[in-house]
Amino acid sequence: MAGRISLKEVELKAWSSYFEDGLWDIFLGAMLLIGGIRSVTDYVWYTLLILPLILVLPLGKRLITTPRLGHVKFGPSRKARQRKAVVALIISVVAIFALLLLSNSGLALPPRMLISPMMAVWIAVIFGVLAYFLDFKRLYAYGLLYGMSEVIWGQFGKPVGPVAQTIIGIAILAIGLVVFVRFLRRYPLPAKGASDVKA
Amino acid sequence: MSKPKAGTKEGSPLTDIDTLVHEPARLNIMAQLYVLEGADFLFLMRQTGLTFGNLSSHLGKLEYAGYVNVKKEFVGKKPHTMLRLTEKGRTAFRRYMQTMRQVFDELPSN
Repeated sequence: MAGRISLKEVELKAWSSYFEDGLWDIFLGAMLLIGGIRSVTDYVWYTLLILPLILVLPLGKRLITTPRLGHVKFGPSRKARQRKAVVALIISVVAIFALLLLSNSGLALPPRMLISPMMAVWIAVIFGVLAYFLDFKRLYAYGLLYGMSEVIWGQFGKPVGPVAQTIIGIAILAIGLVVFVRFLRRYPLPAKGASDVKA
Repeated sequence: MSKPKAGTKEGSPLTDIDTLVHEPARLNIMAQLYVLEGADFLFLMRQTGLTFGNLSSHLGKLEYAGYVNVKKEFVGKKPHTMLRLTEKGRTAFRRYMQTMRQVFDELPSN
């Protein structure tokens, strides 16, 4: 028996298994895709598609992931990291909301060409912070991709910006679907009552 | 005073190894439960890679020793068997880790 047990790796593996379902990737890719299509077409009602999309994560976890992986309660240190991720997300949403309010307030702001790189860096930083606290490495790459779409939009405007956003959204969505299918194959639904067993 | 185990020297940390924890499958189970607040049977099965029967058998031994608590809970309307390490189990696991560190620390370096 090996003398070293890396408990940190054991915990990390348990935590990471919940990201093997690809649902986060599907959600983030679809958000970008819907945003891109809405901007290309100028059909505002496309925004309504975001509403059911928001349900993908909680419903997917409940109906697809948990029945295949089982139930788990993580320890206090993991819960603390989750709380920090939530705080970081709230701060970023508030900041973006504030920027949107400012841009609609009539105040003189720098042109999108200058704001875009700053937004891109901000987006990449937020994704990076979330990736760190959630130990979800793919978020680092998605942050860079999200930021890249923002820079392209700022530099080239319509229609190049929204098209780039759509393509990046499709790429992330495709990764999510591949991960999702792999997850379904790796973790088939167990026999009924597998999580209800008296030892 | 009880005889030291065969192949071990009296007073050596090898004599203190908790064989209930030391078994690889049970060590895996206890390591999982040590880092988590609790998990159901299916989650443990997925993480340890053990079969249904194998896991059930090892959990039975750990529960008999008082190291694991098995509690039936309801998540929504579905029953789930939640497994947790007891305080006794956590202490035993910590003692096991300490013992193993001593064992390897005392090995002569070549």
